[in-house]
Amino acid sequence: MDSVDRKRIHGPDKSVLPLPLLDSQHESVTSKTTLNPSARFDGRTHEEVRPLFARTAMVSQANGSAYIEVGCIKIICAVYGPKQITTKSKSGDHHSGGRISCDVRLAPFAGLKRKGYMKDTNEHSLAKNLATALTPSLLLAHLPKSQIDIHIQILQATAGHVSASSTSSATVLPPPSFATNLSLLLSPCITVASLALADAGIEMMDSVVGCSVGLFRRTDKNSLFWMVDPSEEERETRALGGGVWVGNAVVGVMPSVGRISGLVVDGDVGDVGVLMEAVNVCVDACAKVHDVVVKKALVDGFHAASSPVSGSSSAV
Amino acid sequence: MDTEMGEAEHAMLHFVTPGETVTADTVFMRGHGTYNDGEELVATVAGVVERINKLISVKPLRARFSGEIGDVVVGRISEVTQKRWRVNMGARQDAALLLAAVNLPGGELRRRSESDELQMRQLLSEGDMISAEIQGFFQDGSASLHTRSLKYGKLRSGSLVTVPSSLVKRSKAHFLHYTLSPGLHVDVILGMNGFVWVSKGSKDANKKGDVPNSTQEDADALYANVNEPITNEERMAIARVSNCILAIAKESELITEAFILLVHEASLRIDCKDIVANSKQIIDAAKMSY
Repeated sequence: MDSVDRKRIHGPDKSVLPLPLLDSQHESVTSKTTLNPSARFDGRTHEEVRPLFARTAMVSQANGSAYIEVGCIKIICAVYGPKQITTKSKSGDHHSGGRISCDVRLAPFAGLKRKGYMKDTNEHSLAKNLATALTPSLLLAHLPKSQIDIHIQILQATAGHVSASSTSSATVLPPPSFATNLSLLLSPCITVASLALADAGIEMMDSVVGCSVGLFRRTDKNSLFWMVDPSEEERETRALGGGVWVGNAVVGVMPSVGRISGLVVDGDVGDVGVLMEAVNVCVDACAKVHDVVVKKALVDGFHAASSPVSGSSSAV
Repeated sequence: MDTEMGEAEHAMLHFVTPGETVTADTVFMRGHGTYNDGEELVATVAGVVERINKLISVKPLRARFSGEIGDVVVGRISEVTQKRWRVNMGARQDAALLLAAVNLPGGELRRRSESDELQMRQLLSEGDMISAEIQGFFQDGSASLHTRSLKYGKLRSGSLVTVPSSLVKRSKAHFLHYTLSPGLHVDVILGMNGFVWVSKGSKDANKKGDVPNSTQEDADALYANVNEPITNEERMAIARVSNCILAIAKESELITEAFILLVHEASLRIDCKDIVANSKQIIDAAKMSY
């Protein structure tokens, strides 16, 4: 083992083609024509996001904060800073700009079963992906030697939807599990964190809006279809429109600038064509959420602060 | 949008969110809170557009304190390092208070020797509150403070109130002295950074801020760690003034010398502990008595 040259970057022994890049053999069947819109539990079309509620200035002692509700997911975010970097190890920190640190935590009461807080790799990866999606939007070069702390508390992460059609749906839902749920929590985390950063008056190119898309494989035909902003039931239910979940993608979009700041794909997607199509639809959905929810939450927050009586609310 | 502000007043305000184009006109100059995206001027913060001649800036609702030279600030020592103290004053970075920028006990015109450097913690240690003035800025934008006047220095015999820095306006007087009743004095230091120090007042108001004719006792007292004896009445007065300042901040009104006094008068018929809860009522009453 000692003979391995650690200074050299060793490639893997075997090399594989990374993705069947737009392979013509895998014909991508667009789902628009074939997917029955009523296949979704809450009667959404496959391009539609769930109703959102967002509000700023929720935590009085934080420099900026925001709250978001999507379906049954409830997330609160507090931003502290920019403040002096406190860590003693400044050696590896030669870049002149500031930095952000994200901390995502699932509340003990967030799931169906109460559980004590335990540090979790899922939360860590969620925080990492969140930081990746937010960093391109922030003008950190303006904040030398300072850091911004972003604390996210997931208050509720249970499955479920607030729709009347849930009672009529005859499908028996499987019990939701947390491990699968966490990837679906990333998109509201991105939106709420960016909103809190804007509330804190931190300079950014644009607020980032997150959106997820679920990719499913039809069981009868071997083709893929996608659904924007899948809920946990859709993710879990195998029988949905004859589809099996194969993966999902989370996109962080800066709608005004027209750039994607982060993209996380997991699962065995295979067909890049379908993925690209799904991501494009996500970008459009993000633009809508940005116009209708994020901007309005910020404007409402401003008016609420200039006259403390009025509340603020917003929904798609 | 039916808020208490008049429609006309709101129409005057141009509110933008990050990423929103402020103007596509190239004659304007880029100010704080904006960046150039090609021809367009785009906002980087959520706030109100302000235009001074051709300079366009966006002023955020809540922003970290960024001072100017000459600002009076109140801060807390966060670290003692070689030749300087680090001071947390609620800004983007900690400010530096150089050893060369403080009055040492035993006369002003004394050379700083190495032994002074070793005894820095005897003067100011971590957690001490100080008032100081911003002397300048370093390359990276962090502030350098000085306490080279007897009105600045270590703070004692009082309590700290933290308010949004936007509510403290730059004025001639940041060291305020109130005589609430004969023999009952309260001093207030309005830090531009939103840290406000409310303390037991000195007997004679003239002593404050005048030219230091420093004696040995004065200089030693500068860094003393012991509170002066405070009577119960004085304690209550300090608590009441502190709560009045919090109430003003809660109602998002500017904190000024005259307004604190008005709010204090309006608060007298309410129990000290209930002031913040009844802030709206008190502030309205104080405004009426303008």
